[in-house]
Amino acid sequence: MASLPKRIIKETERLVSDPVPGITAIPHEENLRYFQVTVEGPEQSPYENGVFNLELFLPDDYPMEAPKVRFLTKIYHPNIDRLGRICLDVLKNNWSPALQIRTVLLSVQALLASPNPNDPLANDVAEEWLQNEDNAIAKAREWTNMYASKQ
Amino acid sequence: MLLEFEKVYPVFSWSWDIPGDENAVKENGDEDLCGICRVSYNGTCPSCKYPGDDCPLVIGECNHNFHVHCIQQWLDTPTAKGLCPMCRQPFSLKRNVAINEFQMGRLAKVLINSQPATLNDDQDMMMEPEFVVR
Amino acid sequence: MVSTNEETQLVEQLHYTLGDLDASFSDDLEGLLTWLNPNETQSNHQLRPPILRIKSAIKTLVNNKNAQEPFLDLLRQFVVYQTRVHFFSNFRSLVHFKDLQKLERYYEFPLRFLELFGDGEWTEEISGFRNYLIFYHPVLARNVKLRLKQLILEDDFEMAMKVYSWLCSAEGHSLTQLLVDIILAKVKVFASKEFSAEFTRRFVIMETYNSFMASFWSTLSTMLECPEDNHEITKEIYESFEAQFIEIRTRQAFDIFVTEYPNSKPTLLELRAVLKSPSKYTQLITELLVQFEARVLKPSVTTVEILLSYVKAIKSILTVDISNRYFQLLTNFVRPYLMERRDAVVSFLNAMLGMGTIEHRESGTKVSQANITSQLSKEISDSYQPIFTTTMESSSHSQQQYTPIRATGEPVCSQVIARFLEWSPEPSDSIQFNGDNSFMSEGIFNIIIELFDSRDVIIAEFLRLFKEKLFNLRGYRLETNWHSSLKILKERVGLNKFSNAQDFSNVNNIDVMLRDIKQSEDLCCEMHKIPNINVDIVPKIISYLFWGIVSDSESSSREVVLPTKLDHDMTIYKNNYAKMKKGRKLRLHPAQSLVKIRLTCANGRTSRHEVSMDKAVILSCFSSEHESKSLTLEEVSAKVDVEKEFVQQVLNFWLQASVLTYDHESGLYCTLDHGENSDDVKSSRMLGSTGSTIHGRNDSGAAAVRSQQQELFQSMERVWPFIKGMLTNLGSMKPEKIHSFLKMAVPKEMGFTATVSQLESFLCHMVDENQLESTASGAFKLVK
Repeated sequence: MASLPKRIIKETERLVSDPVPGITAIPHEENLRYFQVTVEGPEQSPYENGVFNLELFLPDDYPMEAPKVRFLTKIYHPNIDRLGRICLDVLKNNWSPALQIRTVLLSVQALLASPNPNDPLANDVAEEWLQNEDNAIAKAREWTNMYASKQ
Repeated sequence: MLLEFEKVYPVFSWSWDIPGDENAVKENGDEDLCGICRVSYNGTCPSCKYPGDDCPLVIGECNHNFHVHCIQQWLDTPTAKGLCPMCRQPFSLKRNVAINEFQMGRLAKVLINSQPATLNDDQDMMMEPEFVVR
Repeated sequence: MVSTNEETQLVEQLHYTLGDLDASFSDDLEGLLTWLNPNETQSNHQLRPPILRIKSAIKTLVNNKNAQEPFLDLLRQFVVYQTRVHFFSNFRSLVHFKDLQKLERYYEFPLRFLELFGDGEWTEEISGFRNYLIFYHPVLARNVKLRLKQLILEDDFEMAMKVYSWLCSAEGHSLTQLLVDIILAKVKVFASKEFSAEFTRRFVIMETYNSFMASFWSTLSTMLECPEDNHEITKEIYESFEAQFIEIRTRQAFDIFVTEYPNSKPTLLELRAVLKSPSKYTQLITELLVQFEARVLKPSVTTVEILLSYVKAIKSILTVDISNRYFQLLTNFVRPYLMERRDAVVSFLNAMLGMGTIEHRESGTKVSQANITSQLSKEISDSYQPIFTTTMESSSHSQQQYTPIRATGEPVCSQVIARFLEWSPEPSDSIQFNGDNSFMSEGIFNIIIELFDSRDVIIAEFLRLFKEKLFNLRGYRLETNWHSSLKILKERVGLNKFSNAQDFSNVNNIDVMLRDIKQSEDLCCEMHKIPNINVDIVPKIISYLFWGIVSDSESSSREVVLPTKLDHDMTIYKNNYAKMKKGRKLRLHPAQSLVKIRLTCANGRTSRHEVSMDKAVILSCFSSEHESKSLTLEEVSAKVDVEKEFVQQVLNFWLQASVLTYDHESGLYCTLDHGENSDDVKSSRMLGSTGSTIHGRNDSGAAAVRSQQQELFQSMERVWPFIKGMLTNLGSMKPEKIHSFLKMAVPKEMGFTATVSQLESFLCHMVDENQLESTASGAFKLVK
């Protein structure tokens, strides 16, 4: 196994020693580039009280290339599709090596707090969000209870 | 009693001479770390073994500093769009800084590759040692 | 005596058969019978030849062609009858073989004078007695056998032969097993004498066996009635020698494995040849561990000594046990103990790098300690030879681990190694070792590293020493032993084990450090070409991150205001560097820098010192062309702009070096310009101890106190047996009393010079060591 860049070691250490509230990221024992992530739904969002499982993978070119992040828990969100893929600029075109695992995950959490149906990934969800927001929020809440409840 | 120094074996440590470093704003404790690899300026980028000549530092016009290999690699990616990873301003080397003198030519090449459209307009500029993008 | 019926009849018949003769010989017959009768204890022969009258009676009645057969027959019956009566009434009182001999002679004596019994007749009678005794008198039987054993052990084979033949006749057959047992007992005694504490001969068993056989075998084989080439018995004897050898050597395990190593190698090799059963191995190693614990693993033994003993023991074990299964036992046994010793890693590295002498002068310990370190050095230094390791890693690993560093090109050697690697562990397997075992020693190195559990500790400690070493370099060249150790460390500690990225980068630091030094040399060459530059300055320029120097940490980069001239020189170097290496700047580290200074006193006396720059700079505050200068701590501190605590330490350092004096009343430090003639001594001492003073760890004063105490305790250890002795006899004693006793009791050669308070501090130390306890009255007694 190629040795892990110092930056990844440092980031991992900090994630463990100084975790972000509401977010955990634990590296896989055998592959230190693969993280199991949980993100708590932000307060006053339809995802409140939910705990969402994600996976995060640092590609070989990290930090030149953004980490790959994907929701494992089903979620009703206009910018997250059925496969858990996330539409988030910092994960794509707006990536910068100055960003870190923790900042990326904070962005993900922020995305839960403020869904953006105008730049959709899940078109049906975005549609619903634009047409009938109350309904969409209720559905998001329902899905959170169903798939992301803390137990 | 008179004390004379007959022989002196001084130990010096070297560090990159970053102008205005003394007054630099220390951002959340990361002040001396390359914004890309998070290793000290005076250390090495992840691919180098020896610090110093082998792994120099460059100072951006925006006052963000990187190991030349780190920024070079970043600017080489399509995502970079020629921007500084820290401030997302177009990245260029600061002029009239001793540190950068060596690196001008080298980095210029990288910048050509990543920004062909912009640069073609003004080819002459590239030949100048104190070349600056845009 | 009371006559029985049978006796009376016999006597009457005897008279009767004489017939005519009886008239003239009746009295003589009576006399003869009495003389012959063993029961007539008062009046019989008494082991004296017959008197004339009885003699003539014998002549006429017995030793005569005309003697009457019926008479003779009756006489025989009489003798036999009387002897039996005597025997059965007396045999209980027989205890020893000599009683038997006496009795048999008593019976046999009178018969010498009579031609009464034919060949074998009387012998048969005696055999009957003997046979009876063996079966019905167990005490006697046992005694006789013991006697036989004793005689053989004492080499009295003539007598032994008699006893043995007596036994054989009593038993009615030869007693081979008994004799063999006795011979083996003799072997045991013989062996214990021959297998004494001499470990430098190789084929001791064979030699001893041969000398035993040469001395005794012809006699013994005669006794055994076997041919001299009876292999069954000679083999048994040989094996008994082997068993004895193992048993005795097992008891001497520690001496062989540690104390006498490497001179004991012949014995170790012999042990390896004869140790055939795992249980014997286990016994041997167990005994070694027990002795190791008792003799080495105790507080009074220094860490270096422990390490030396350990290395010797490991080498010995590896010599004896080619399966390499047992050394791990020792390692596991010693490790916890050694881990409690904070100086373990340093001691090891010092030895490895051959730094023993310097380091020990530094800590002020005894020369003997330095000797031990250099011995340890020697033992470890073999490890720079090309070797392999076996059980260090899992077997799959060991294949890869084996990388000959220096190709020997010797097919024999590689063959041996190849055999080793595919070798299934069986101690009796006889693999030929290379005579000097040199290819074992890198294993030693690994084993020791293994001992320290964490390789990180070793690397960190090594880096610290390495750093100090480089800072201390006058030029830019490292000694060869450092090169070899670096190589080994990199190969063994670093790269092979770099599952941990941190570990790897640490080892990488070494390369950066070396390159820094190399580049410093190049730069220095360039700079010295600059006109008018001070070439007495030989700079080292380091990449501080790789030298464990934190740029802002106080101790490693304490700024000191330099004297103008020095400051000027330093600035020139800094500026030139900035010119040569664009975009870089230098920072001076006075604590890491070394300077050679010359002090010229007002009276013209000069002395030279090598110290760290910060120390010199602080002292330079006192420098003056004219008279001596006096300054307070505060003044010095202000002048060099360094906090008082540190200045204080440095001033103490110079006080100890007798360069400064301190006046308590005024609080002034002053140069010792008109020092007494002790100056020479002082300065030479100073130069001798430069190792300690450069880059002094800011605690020279405290360290000095500590090392003085160590030295004191070491000298007191020698009188400890006296103290123990008197406390055993007298219970508890006050320090004053102990002191005066020691003054009297300790031989002059040992030189007991400690004061009462020194003694007291040692006694307190022993209380801490749980050897003594102090009583309420201030006395000390032994811990029960």
